[in-house]
Amino acid sequence: MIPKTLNDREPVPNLTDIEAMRATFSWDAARAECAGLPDGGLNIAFEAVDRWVAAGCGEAVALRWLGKNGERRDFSYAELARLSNRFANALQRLGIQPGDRVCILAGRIPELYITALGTLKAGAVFCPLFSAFGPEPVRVRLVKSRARVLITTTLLHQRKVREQRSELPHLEQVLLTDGNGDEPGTRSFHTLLEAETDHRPPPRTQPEDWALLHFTSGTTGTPKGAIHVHEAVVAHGLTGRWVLDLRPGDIYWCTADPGWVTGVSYGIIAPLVNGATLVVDEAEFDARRWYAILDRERVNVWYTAPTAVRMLMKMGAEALCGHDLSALRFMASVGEPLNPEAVHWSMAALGRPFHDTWWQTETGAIMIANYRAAPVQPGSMGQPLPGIEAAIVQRRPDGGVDRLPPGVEGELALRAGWPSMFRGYLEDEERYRQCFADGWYLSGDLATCDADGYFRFVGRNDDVIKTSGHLVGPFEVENVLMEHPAVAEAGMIGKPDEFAGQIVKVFVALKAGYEPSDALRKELLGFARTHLGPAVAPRELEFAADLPKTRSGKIMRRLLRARELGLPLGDMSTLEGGRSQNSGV
Amino acid sequence: MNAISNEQIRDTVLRTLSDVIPNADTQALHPDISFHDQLELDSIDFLRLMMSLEKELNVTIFDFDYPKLSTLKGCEHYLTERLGGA
Repeated sequence: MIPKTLNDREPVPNLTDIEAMRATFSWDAARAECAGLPDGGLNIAFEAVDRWVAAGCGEAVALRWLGKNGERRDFSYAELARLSNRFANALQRLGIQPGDRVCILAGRIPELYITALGTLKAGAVFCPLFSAFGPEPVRVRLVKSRARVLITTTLLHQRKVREQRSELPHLEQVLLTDGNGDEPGTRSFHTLLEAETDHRPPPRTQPEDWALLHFTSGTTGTPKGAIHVHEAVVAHGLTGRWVLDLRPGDIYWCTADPGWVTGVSYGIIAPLVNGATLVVDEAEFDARRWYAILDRERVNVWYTAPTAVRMLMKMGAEALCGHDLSALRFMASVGEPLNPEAVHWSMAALGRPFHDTWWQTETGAIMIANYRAAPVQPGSMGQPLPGIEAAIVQRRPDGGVDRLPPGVEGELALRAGWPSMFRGYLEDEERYRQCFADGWYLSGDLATCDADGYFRFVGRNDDVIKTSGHLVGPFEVENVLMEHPAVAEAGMIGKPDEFAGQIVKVFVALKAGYEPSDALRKELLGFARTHLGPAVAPRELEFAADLPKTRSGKIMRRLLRARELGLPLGDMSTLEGGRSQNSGV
Repeated sequence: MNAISNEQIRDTVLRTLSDVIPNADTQALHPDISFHDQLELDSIDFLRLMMSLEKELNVTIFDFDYPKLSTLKGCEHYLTERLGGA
């Protein structure tokens, strides 16, 4: 346990007495803290940007964009409001209706933020696609979302979309952020914006209107599109204030890519709702660059991922040398369990602990956290947010659940009904329904809770894995491999990795007539990577004569995992879920 | 330490790169443009590349020097210097 002694020179935490707040908290009171729309209703983009302009704070820096080649550009709240108005106007001119999906496939470029906010203002649904997805995950998500508009870059369009356009009948518009309209089937994002005015009437969205669509993976079937509504902003704002300790004027850096839920909830919405300056770095991880950013930008609050923390640990003290990180007030991490070593390292190297947080695409916002005002338990995800009831439960055969006592492993469940709870999986009512029992949302994560109310992650109760903090499901990976003429069967597992937590590993059984060889292994890995992209691609492939299956023919990935980890195959009770998730860190 | 030729270093970098990024067209690689910009490798891939090169060439690549190895030419320069090649 790392006790907290608060520094007199630093502001008092936004949330000081967690227990007292838990006793008196109501979501209605939190809802009342939103500015709301002038004519009633609620809109995420209005809460994030226009509200500050209306309050006379429009000149504050909302977004500080750091380009990978050294560019630096500030966008004030007023400028973001104007640009997002223009984009919303452009969407309207293109005939986009409330509820229509607008996808973006791009790195961390300024146009992404304008797109997100403008889409929300137009009442359309913002759906980010991670730029490191290959053509297949991109196609699947564009088809499933029925996106009418895609914003992307010339390069990403050429690599991942152009050849698939004929399979995307709903996709009417492709807007290129760096194109001039010469590329067939595309238009220039900037030319469209230039034709619009800065002005736009306030949005007309209601709290329960759809706002965000985030795809996430399951064990079976194609990725699920989790739907979030505008009311989610209540939780984004509150958790930004209470967990990340954000306040107006803070310099805040979230390293997550907006291709994933963290990069939207906490890489766009929460900091802006709290009036902070959001730092965005376009470049990939580079320890020296990161420390230089923390120093030069005087970052106060930093939200990153365990994979990044472990890579910083590997880089050692040299990279940190000469950098002044004294502006840092609070550091948090999310994506996978933060190993205790990383917490202890941050105490020694950075002088303060990383605070692990837990939430999911489906929860929309942080649900369980280590707080600035509370002791940190290294290895624990912390305690539930006031307003969130969390429990460890066991599913009963009749479909109900039983709560389990402290210390006993079970499924982590949340009492349904918080504002950022997902409202459905797109066109998959059945899978949505299966996530709930007896009024609880069942997370699929296995965990324990101690007598002090601190939760610890144990593993998954299904076959999805976390690699570099990103959820990857076996279905997408195995399906692509099965497309190769040599592959008879494929089974995916997460293999523990010192840095990524887990990497995607596949076991492959070959069709008759094919022999295992290094050349074929490389060919299959290359084939998978070409189709899936680096975010999802397997990094290791092992040939197997045949894969263990149930009587009904389902591949038993748990046995593959046991084989990989050298666990006794008979000892199945210890293999439940992705226990390997913790063993590599 | 036995000197190693520039060609050997280059071949090793390309072979190692193609092990880490099996779909990479290493022949088409521009020597001055970063691997990141040409091959879509992520930070874990890059780390694997660095660690594999250390193993293949029996050399220590200091962590804080990683950015110097972000292009093919950068790899060649750095490794030639470290290995005393000519």
